[in-house]
Amino acid sequence: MSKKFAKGLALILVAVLILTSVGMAAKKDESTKPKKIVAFLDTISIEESGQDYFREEYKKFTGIELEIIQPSHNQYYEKLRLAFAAGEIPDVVELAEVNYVNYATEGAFVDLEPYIKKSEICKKIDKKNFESVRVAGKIYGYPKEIGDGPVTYIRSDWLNNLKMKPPTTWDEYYQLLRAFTFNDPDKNGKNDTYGMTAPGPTGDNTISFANNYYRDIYQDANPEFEKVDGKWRDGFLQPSMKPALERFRKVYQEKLIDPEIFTNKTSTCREKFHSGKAGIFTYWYGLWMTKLERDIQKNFGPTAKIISIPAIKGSYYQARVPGVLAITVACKNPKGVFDWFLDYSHDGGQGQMLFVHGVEGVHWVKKDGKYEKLPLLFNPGALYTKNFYSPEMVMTPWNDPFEMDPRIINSKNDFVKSYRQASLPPMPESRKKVDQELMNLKNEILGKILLGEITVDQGLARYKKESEALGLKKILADMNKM
Amino acid sequence: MATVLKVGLQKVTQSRLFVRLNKYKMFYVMFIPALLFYICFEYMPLWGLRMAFYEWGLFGPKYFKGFDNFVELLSSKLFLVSFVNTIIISGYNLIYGMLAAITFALLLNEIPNGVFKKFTQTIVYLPHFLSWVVVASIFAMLLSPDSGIVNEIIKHFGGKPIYFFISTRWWRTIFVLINLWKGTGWAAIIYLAALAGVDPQLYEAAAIDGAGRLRQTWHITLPAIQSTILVVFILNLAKILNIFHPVFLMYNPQVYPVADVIDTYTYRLGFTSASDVDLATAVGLFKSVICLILVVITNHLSKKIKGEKIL
Repeated sequence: MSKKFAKGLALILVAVLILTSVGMAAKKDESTKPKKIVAFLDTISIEESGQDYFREEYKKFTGIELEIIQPSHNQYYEKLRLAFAAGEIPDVVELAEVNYVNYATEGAFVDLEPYIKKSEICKKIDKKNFESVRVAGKIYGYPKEIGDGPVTYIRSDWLNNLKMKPPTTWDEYYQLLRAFTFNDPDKNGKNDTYGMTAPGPTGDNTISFANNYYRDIYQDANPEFEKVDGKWRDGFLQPSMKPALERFRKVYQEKLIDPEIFTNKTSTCREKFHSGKAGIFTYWYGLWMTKLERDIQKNFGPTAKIISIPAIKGSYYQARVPGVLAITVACKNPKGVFDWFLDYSHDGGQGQMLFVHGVEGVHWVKKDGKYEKLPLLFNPGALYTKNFYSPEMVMTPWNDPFEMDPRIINSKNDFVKSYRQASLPPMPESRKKVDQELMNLKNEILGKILLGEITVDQGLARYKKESEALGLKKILADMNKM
Repeated sequence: MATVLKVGLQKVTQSRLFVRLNKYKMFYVMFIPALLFYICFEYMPLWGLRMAFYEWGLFGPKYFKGFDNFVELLSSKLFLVSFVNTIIISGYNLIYGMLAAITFALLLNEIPNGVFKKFTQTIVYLPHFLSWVVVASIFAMLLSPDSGIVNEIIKHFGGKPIYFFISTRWWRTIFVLINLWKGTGWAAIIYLAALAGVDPQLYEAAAIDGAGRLRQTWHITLPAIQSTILVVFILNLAKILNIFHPVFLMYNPQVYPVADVIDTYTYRLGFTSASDVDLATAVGLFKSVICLILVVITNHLSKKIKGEKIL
């Protein structure tokens, strides 16, 4: 074989290889790329924040038309249910926690595990995130972010006024509640403050509220169904619940916490924290720290500050199961939607930048090599914070070009030091039938205990008896089978 | 012969019908939008009631289950509590609401000063135009155990503050009072209109006979507006079970034993975590049947009392 022939053959082979791979890549892209995606989303930036620009930019980058259906936040799940009932089923749906479990159990979503296994992007993401959304052995949701949760915020200027330190144990926490209630922490000469405020410990969402906003009081107890050593159990019947309820009753009866907790909403609590009615508030880590401090400073000037603290000794913070994006069984091209919407939004590059920070020139600009957020379109007094995913909670590691406020990082670090990842309790038919009654029973007993109408022992004995009558043993057995 | 007569009669009837239709054709044309509205928004949705007889999933019916949902419903403690609460709260609203509106209308009718009468009327109407969300927020502030004006007054006189909205003892009272505050002015309008139609000569004659204000009210005014009261009663009775918004905005789990009504129970069944739409539809259907029974009974009572039916 002549050298010329060998060179020619080598060149032809290389060219064939390149052309084939390019061709294959192009073929693969074209075969999976959908023309249009219909997404039913809850927490993406609203229209007034420039959602149109986001859709245009997404089309520019991917060539795909994106239709977003975004009902108002407080009607989201009602509208979603109605959309399914009417047969107007979108390609992608955003869901969280128990709603995700219910829809997945009803067979509404495509199993994403085969796609996740093949995805190069998913390999960069901590597997824990996908495992936390596993339902009945399958992964139906692509987590939006890592699971976040609330940390305890304290007015640091009040601590300074009273010459106290942030609490690290229950005793110190209790003393701080007393001092914030009785020692005039704001130095206004009036007895007008409480130790802490929080939204209703009872309510339709209540049990989650208990886990979210009362962690310093519940500590190692958990009033929900929880998975321990691979088995589901009712946290309300565990030994740790008795001391937890006694602590709760004590601080409520001594009026160290907001007396209106039963009817508080999260918004009223934020308002009370902003207006200096309470000095401790357990709320979401991350961006919320800067928002809370900004609103407090609006009322009390720049010297009013807050700090976040790690969970006190014996307690923990709870990371909620992350919200997910799921592909419905009505979607005609699940692989395409997975690649071009779910995976793309977590690509650690262009897609992630768009889904986290929004559109260049509308939501942010690059000035002298530095990335800066622009004012909100509907409120020029505040800066744009995020588009869909929170910058501090992204799953795919990347070099975020935006400098993050150190307060956000601190609050996240305090959370991460001592957190537990929540699991998704299954919903067997036996539980579905009496879930409301069980929840009502817990709520009623908790309320009576706090108001001093019954003792903790009486309350727990009543729960044991009545929950058994409602079939709790069978529910737990069914949950453990799923 | 009989056949000929029958055919002839049919022709006459048909031609009469045609003449009638032709004569009033524009009325029928004008009626079409209303008819379409009722078909689309009132009757077609009734097809959804079949959910109550099926096991219903996200994608439609799974299997037919007959009356199982109703059996489950009637054996549910929560449903029975909500049913009893609905009857009690609605009964209070209906009776106290009508008494307050009639009394207010009678008192307003006695005011001779036109300016003061209109001013009072306007002030009492105003709450009707506030949404329930605003009303609930206002009363949450007024009745706050921490800083509400009502509890400040109680504390001023040496009493202990009351957490009204979580008190099973107080909740219904507060709820009915708030309803009265919001609805009395508006509900009185129809009675004021009826009062305006009472012949003044009757009062003059009664005054000559020595009847005082109370006697005139008892023997002239009330009988004169009796049919209006009855019509309003029947109309209100048909919708008394629809009390979702105010209850939903003012209740909380602490007062479920006295405040949870069929509507709020249905909402939680249909739209919260363990949603069960077929059971929720069964509850809704059950409620509608109860409403229908109430209306039929009242209509029958009207026949007995007044000698004529309203519907």
